[in-house]
Amino acid sequence: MLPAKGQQFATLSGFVADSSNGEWLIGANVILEGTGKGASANSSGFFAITRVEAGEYIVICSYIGFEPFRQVVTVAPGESRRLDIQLTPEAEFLEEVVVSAGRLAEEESRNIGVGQISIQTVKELPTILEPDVFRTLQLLPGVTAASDYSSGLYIRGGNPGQTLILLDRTKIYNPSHVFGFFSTFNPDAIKDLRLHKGGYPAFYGGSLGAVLDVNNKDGNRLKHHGGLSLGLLASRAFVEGPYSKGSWMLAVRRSTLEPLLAALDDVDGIPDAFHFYDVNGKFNLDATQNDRVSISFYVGSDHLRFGFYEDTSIGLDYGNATLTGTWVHLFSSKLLANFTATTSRYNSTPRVVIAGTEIRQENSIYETSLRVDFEYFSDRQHDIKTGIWAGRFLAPLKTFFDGQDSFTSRNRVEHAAAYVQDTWRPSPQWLMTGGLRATYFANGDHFTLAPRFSIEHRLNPDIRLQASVGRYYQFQTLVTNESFSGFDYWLTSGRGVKPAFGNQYIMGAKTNLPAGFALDTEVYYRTMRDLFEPDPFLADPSGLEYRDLFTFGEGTAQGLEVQLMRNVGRLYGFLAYTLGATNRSFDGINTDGQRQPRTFKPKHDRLHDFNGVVSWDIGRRWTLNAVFSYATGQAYTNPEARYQLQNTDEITGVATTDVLLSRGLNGARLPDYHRLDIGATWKGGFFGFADYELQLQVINAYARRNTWFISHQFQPDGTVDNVDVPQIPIPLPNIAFTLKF
Amino acid sequence: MNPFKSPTLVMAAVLLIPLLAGCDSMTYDALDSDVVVEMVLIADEPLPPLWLSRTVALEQTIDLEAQAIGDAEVTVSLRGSAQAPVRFLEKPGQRGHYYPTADDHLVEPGGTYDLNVLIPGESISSSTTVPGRFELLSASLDSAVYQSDEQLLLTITQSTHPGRELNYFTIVTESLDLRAEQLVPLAVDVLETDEEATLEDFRFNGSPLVSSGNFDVHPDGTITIRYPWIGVIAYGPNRLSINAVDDNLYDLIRSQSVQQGGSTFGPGEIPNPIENIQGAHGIFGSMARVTYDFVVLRPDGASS
Repeated sequence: MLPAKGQQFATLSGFVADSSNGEWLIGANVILEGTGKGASANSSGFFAITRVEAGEYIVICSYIGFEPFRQVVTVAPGESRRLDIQLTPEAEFLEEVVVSAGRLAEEESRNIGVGQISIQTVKELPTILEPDVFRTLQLLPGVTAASDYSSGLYIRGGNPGQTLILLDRTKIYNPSHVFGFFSTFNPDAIKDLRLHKGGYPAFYGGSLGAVLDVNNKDGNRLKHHGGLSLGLLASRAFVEGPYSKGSWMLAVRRSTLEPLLAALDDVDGIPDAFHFYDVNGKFNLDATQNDRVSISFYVGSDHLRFGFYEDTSIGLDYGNATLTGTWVHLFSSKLLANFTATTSRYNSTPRVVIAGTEIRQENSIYETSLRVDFEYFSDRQHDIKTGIWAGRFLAPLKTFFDGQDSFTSRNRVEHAAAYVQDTWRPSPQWLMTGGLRATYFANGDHFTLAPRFSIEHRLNPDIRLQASVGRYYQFQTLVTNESFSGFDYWLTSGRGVKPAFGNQYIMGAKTNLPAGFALDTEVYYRTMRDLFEPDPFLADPSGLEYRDLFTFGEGTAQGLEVQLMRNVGRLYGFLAYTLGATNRSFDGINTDGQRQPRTFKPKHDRLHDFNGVVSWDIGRRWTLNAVFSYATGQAYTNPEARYQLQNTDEITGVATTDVLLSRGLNGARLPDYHRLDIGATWKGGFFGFADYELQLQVINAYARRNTWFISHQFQPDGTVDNVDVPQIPIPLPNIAFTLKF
Repeated sequence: MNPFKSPTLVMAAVLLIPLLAGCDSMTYDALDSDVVVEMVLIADEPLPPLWLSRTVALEQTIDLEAQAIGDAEVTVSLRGSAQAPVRFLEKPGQRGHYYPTADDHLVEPGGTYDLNVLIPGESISSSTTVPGRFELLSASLDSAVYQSDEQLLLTITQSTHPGRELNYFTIVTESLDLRAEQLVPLAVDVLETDEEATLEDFRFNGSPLVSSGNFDVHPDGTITIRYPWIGVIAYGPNRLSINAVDDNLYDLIRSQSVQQGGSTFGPGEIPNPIENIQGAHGIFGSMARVTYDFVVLRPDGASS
């Protein structure tokens, strides 16, 4: 650096993009070498470095998987210098020589509470039939899987309903296919995903625990491009390309199970029909150098038809759709605005007909919102974000029995939120972010204030210490069952039902180690208060006051997360370990002799949870992958005794009634869980016309029979069969072929 | 060396905090009783017998004779009544079955009954308030073709229960002419495919707990129930019972059904039953009921 004298500061700002396709790179790091000054590209790919003294600098921009960008820039006093940066993807593998650049790029994704996984990793790792974003996220420390059959995200002791899931800033409800087996996110359509496991800033709101922020690809701004993938469960196709003023992208996925279902037509328990599909699309208009407009959408749906006995049928259609319109406007080099309109729809219509009697549910969500966010980069080392958000949530829920309306809940809620967030960097060693989020929720007239604060101290270039504290509110509760998400619905706080709230306390240390390794550690403690969930013992909600539908409770979660990573070289991956504990207490559940609730462990509580993810490029176009998982056995209820009522036929229609007794809900542990998945990927090309990729994988390679739950089946002779219901019990092969052109 | 600038030491320091805080404590009290009571009073009917037994370990076979509890002192009394408590005596040859010594007592609708059981070393008590009497005012049909559009409509008065605005019912259908050839197609399929099913399993068919909030309330307070075809198991004569249950039955039925799955609990999460009895498990409950007999015709119009 060759600084020049001057009293007026300059500003250096611009957008960072991938030179191969023009995609904005979220989180790319830009620094002025030797000054300690720098910034990260925000969710619009924009960065701004303020308070730059006039002079000549070397600008370095880096992002993992890309060649570092270096350019000498001279700025004059008071100048607002626009510097749009194009990063070039690494040719093949990032070698140790560029490790330091890799570190810079990773910093944003290693902020407090943040977990990140690349889409390439999602596509590359061994998978159960279909690459899945949520199942890959379950490998991160602090994220727990309920079972092999569930893609639900249990994050830092929270259940899936405590994670806000955003697709291009639009909240998406029940993002699952196959009733929870897979998430809806098609990896071909996604550019970036970031998981805030906790301690998220005031920019976000409405979740007690975590935020998953997913962004669709913008589409290739430079050339037309496409791909086709054939898998055992589903096939995918995508196309993207430029046009005169921007880009577009379309990705489609559909299940391809029909031939298999037809072949198994006579097998009991096989559905008569099943399919799912999803479509992602995005259209970008780069109107001016300072204005970008985009419209993106998602549509997905599952359809099931099933008959289990004569004169019975089950039909279930469920799915969701989102539409997002965004206008990003750069008012000046220091002021960026983002105007967003969102709409999200979720619809589930299970229908069961038994002996001529129809039982049907109409469960919908319609949410629309408008939000405006401003980001101002001041000369005083403050990055100030502020914004407002207003929307309407409409969730009609109707149940029909035998043609009659038996239950109706019509939640219509207007809500609004405003926030201010200031990130202050008083020196290169210190970074502080304070924020306050105010929310008004019309249903029940609830007003909340949620302060948040985080601080980071850089001890040296290789060690960052972080801490965060914050208050979080949640106004909706997800009603779900771990084993089947097709009936999911949401209820909100309202009159007599206060929003749930909790505090989060997090400390962490992020360190860079030799040879491209990095070691991240975080400890957290969470409280959960005023939790509201539907009373699980409610026999029939008809005729009850809204408040009486719920049981109320509280909980805590605490844990330690350690992640050792290596993102460079031919051997890369991560080891993730979590030591965690969480508990709950709800009115009327797990009560003692005085009807007082006793604390219990939710099923997803795991004392130890370990995942090892290793990829090895062995050359000759082959890459080998392995994922090993180990976790403490899940909490379950071990009934130790039972009794049988002998004369209940005239009361319940059942001659005898068996009742189980235990010492407490989830008071026992299943055997520990472990599983090894392995895979190999072979990449090649067709005469320069297209690239292909063949994946051969085996899930549960050594045939571990992990227990899912124990079913107690009462026999007519007075005995009980305790049936060990397994998770995926056998090695499950998977093969996929992908073609890109 | 500054210890706080060493990655290893920083990690070690951070690691210690949750290790101190995170412990996996899961201790619960042992089960504190193994006596099981079973007795359900029915309004306007004689006092029923009481069945006393013991719980068994999960893996143990239910053996009614072995689990029965004999030599207990059992009394049932109507609260606020001048009558002496009714003593129950074990019937010779039927260990564990206790019958009332007064056979002229009819269970009083709206009355509160107290149960006391003394077993050497153990004392059991419970109480139930019997749901108020209700009546069947009208029935739209005395026979109907199975799954025809014309469904049976039953208009009833409402039962009353202290502290509760809603009534909870079970609706039980009893086949009065149970034969395999009388079963409806669904039941035939179940009988043929389920190896453990027997014909006798199809004699009764019951609904889950249903709230009176499900039904339209007429201006005079009566309600009309449309009987669904799902309730019918067999063609021919059927007896339909509408049972208004007390709090004790309501709690036990709703919690026992959750043990079978279908609620928001995950697989393997089995809550204990909600029981309103001190010193024992089981049920001391009550209900009021009305019944109606009608004939279900085959689609071709025949009743058998």
